[in-house]
Amino acid sequence: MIKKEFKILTRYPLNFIGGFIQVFFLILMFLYSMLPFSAGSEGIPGSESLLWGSMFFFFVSDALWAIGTSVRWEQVSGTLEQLYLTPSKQWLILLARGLRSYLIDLPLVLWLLLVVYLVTGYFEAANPLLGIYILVLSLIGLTGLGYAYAGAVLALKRTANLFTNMFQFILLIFCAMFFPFRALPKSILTVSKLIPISYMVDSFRSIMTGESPELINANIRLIGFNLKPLYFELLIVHLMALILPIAGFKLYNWMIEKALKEGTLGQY
Amino acid sequence: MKPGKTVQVFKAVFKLNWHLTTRYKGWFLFFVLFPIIFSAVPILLGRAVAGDPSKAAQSFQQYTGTSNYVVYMVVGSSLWVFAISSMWGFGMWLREQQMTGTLEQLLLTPVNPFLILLGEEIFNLLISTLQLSMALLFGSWIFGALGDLLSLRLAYSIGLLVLGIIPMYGLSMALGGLIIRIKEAGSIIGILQMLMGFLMGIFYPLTLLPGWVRILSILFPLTIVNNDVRAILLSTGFIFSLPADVLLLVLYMFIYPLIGFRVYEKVMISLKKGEGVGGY
Repeated sequence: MIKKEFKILTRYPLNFIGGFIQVFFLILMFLYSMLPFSAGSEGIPGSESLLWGSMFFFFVSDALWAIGTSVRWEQVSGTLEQLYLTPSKQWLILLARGLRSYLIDLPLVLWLLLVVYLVTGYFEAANPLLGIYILVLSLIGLTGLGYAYAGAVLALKRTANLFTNMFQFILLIFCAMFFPFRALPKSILTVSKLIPISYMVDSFRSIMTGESPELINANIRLIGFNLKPLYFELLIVHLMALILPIAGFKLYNWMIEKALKEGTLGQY
Repeated sequence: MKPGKTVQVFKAVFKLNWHLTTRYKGWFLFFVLFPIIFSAVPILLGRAVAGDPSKAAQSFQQYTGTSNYVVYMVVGSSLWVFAISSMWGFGMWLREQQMTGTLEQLLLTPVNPFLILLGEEIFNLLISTLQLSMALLFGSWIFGALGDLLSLRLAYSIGLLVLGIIPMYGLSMALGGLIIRIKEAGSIIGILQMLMGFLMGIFYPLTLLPGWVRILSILFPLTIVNNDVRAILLSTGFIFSLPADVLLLVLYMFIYPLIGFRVYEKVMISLKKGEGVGGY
């Protein structure tokens, strides 16, 4: 499946190269937008938020589009039912798409880091190994989100593309992927604290910059343990890496069973 | 063609597009909400960089001449989305007709194809303008800056927008030709959208850009419109001066439609000679 996905990718190399150019101009836009606010400061303060949070936007988009909305692409092209008639495990197909997207986005993410460094001169990775570990856990959690979303797409049908577009940008704001959480008004921050992805972003950023996390400010007492804010957030990330794939997979299977019973699997 | 027939063509085009627009209301709303959400990023980023909203306003004033960074960002973002949907609307319509196999049928009708294209452009313009207005009003209201937007100056800035529309649609014809020529134009569209946003200075003053980049950005009509609408609304600086900028836009009103039509015509002739306009 990954081989097939890469074949499609290599058939349209311009799309792949275009991604680098788009990322370049997108990051430039946001970096330049910070300059008028940084009067009297050295460099561009806040670059670390952009550097270590923005990559989550790519991975969240992968979960929503490559895993979630890919089911719709199969429906529209008429191949979803055929795939379900093969002896292959269907969840492996979605997983393969997700893995393909993560692998393709890896050079884009590295390119993003390079662009921010070249423009701002800023690069800091306080705990790179731990950061990579948290990123991998986050990707596992996001894959679970992708499965859940794939199930939802079967119900959304024509509105799936529109909903996905809106959803990814709403998550961009609520999960503060491009800016620190302290920039959010309190009312939005309350909602941010309910979204698991926020803790993935916050803990990763905190680990890579060596700063304290922003979502949890005080120690949390849990089952006799006094957990520091970062440890509590890491606990949430670990739990989400366990819960989201299981819940997402169950929801996806439930929606598929429902569609098979109703005979609507191929309807889009 | 008789005026009555022309009106009939426009009515048919409008009716079809109205059905499509009302069938997919969500997409209409998306283009109203997207610029607001997109402008929230630099607004929140700016507040974080400066430390708090009042420091953000002070710092922004030093660079741009206005402390009203909210309206500044919302106007920039809204005009960018207006530019995108106006410019690509025509090209993507052509591409859709190619893919559904109806482009050849349209060109074979006894109707002047130019009228159909013009009808499409006008409908696209009306919808984009409505979306732009709603985005500006709703966005300003959400960020508590509606009072700053609704002033007599807004009426003057609308005049500038009208001047910028004609060259922009000329450019859209050229891009339309490019799209049906290249066929797999998704990545080109993506690149040009981001490039446009960068060159237009949707979130920052053009003075921050290097000199040679500023020259490139001024060649794009909506850069001038974006900058000067903000200059009128928020008393920031014009590109050169208001009369000079208006003169430049008037010049573009002649140049870009000519270029656009020429490119489109050349592409269509080349396609008709070669693989045919229906090949995708």
